[in-house]
Amino acid sequence: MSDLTNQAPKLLKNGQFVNNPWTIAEKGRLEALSDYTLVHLSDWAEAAKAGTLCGLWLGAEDSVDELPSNIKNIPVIAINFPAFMDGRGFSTARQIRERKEYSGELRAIGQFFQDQVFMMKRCGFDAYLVPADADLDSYKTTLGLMTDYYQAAADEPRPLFRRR
Amino acid sequence: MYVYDEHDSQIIRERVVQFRFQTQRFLDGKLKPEEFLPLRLQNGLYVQRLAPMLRIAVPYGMLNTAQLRKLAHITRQYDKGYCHATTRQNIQLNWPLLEEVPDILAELAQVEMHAVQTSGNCIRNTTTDQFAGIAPDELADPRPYCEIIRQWSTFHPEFAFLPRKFKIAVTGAAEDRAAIAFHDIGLRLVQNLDGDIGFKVYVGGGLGRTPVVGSVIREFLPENDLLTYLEAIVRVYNLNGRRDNKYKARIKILVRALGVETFTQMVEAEWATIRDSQTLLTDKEIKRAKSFFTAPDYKSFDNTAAWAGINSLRSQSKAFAHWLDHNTHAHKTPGYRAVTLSFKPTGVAPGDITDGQLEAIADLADRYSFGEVRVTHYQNMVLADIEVQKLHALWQELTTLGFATANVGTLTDIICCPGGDYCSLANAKSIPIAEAIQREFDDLDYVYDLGDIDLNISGCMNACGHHHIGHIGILGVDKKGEEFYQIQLGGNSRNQAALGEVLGPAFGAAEVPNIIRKLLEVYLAARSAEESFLDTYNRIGLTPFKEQAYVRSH
Repeated sequence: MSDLTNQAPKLLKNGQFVNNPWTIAEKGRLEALSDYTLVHLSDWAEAAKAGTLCGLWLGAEDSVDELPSNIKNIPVIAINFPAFMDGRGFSTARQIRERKEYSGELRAIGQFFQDQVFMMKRCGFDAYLVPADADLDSYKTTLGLMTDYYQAAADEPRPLFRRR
Repeated sequence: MYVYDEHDSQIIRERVVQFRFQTQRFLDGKLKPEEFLPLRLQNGLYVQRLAPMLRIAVPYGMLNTAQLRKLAHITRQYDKGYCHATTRQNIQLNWPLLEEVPDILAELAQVEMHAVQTSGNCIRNTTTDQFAGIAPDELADPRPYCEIIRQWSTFHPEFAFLPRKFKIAVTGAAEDRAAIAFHDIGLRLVQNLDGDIGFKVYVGGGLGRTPVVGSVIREFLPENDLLTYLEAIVRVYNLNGRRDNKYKARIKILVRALGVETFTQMVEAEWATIRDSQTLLTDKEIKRAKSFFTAPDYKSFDNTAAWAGINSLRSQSKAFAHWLDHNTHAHKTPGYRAVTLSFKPTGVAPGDITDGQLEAIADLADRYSFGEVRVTHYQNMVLADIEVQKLHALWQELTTLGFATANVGTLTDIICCPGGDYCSLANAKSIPIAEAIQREFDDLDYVYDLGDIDLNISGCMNACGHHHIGHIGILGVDKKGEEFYQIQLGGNSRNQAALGEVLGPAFGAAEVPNIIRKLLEVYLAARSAEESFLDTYNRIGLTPFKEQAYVRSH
């Protein structure tokens, strides 16, 4: 996670770069717990006791079955992509949106690249921690290239066959 | 055949623009090669030993003549004037330029074609029986379901970065001609006691380094539940499949590690959460899909009368008789026959086809077969709807064109990957081995006497040539820089699905044809009347073959 916090990435949300108050605490590292910290799923119970304003993050191997029962009040849930070829986070995101019916910010963090953001959006992500040198116009172009799709996902519950 | 509406056209057009943008960013140095890699693979573009290779999707093997003519134009304009039919019913170009690939995709889009998901760790082209819709032993036409799966899997946002590639095959017939037991998911159309149509679901079959026969995880899945159930299977795989070792990343390894029962429980649990979602197929959508695969405008024939003239011509020509016996197939409509065009004459790389041949086939399809052809996983093409009374005229034309080699289903109808001549993954050449075997067995009467034999050759253990499921399988291996060939016997891609057993130590390239002859002699000596090679092998086992193959000559 260290390279995540060192690269001063930008937060892409709603088609623009926005202020990002959130920092990420590595798994099991709750010493410097302050407001606006994303803690790992396994640290959630302890962090919640401290009364600070926290969000949580999941690793690719973490199951949505481990999420706390009431997630609707969590302001930010982040899913880490350990490598851009590791697509587990796409499924996890859909489960959080569609099965857990979470409507807060769902953020992609870790190793992914521009052309994956469109798929992430379809799976329910609405915020993306992208590299510091990311070109906003290029991202926007990428996001706008595909305007219709066959299958249902988190962004569109009706598959094309119900919209035809 | 399926016809695009404005949605399909838009999706494929937008994909071309998207890939053009990605290619441009790569060429401008704004997209890293390692990031461009999965994007280009999901557009069918490999970087090969000699040049890039572009794999064009032929959904479940169906092509119309406008598409054939476009492929001919593309091979002429952008390649060296020929292409290659693959064992997954797709078409490959061996020499396109990277810079021109977006233009090729734009040309393909004009005829409702693309290269979507023909490679990469995603859901690949769904394959089926080459006689779908016309086979007399068919319960239901699998193609409407293949098209439904195609649409669901195309650009599925959740499944573009699976642990490994993912292949689905569907059959609707009593005899499995789609090798469903050797796919990540195999679907067999079945009917329950109430007369409802559904699927028997197989998971975890595959070839490659660890060949496995798929396991049944559900005896009956109602047809409306098809997509939600597939989504549950692929999600369980996406979340739990191994990602630490690409050779252990296929779903077959996950199913084996968890056990079929546990895996099935996980799928059913995931399915329970999504089975009532809007992805549940509607009767209207199934009906819509079926409406594209209705019977063409068949004429009404008296079967006996239609055959009378042909049988008279048959008695006059041995060559025509052989072709009728081997290259034509039963059709469920009286007075019609399906015809396989053999792409396996001796000396031509199996599956290779030139621009002129593509155009000639398009011309034949227009005149004889309602303007459609099918690519088979045996790397041949099929004209599906030929009037019996026109068989002789068609045979004459096919003979002129070189597609009438009457060897379909026989020893010399070899399935063969491009091998070391083209493929960067190969350990050994495969095309010259196929040719050497064809030359060794140039006596057609001998070949016919052997009956139907599947002989499959792969140039490496990735098994594109399906060597594990050939009655005789040949695998190219590399030993200290030298090419050797391991032989397997007893594989079967059909109903009694089985993997071949390794005969013993590998042979040098020059020895292979003679070893094949020795193996066939064992069969000929041991068979009872009418007994096939495979049945004989299953009765007498590997040992007699092994003893003969490794006997020292004096």
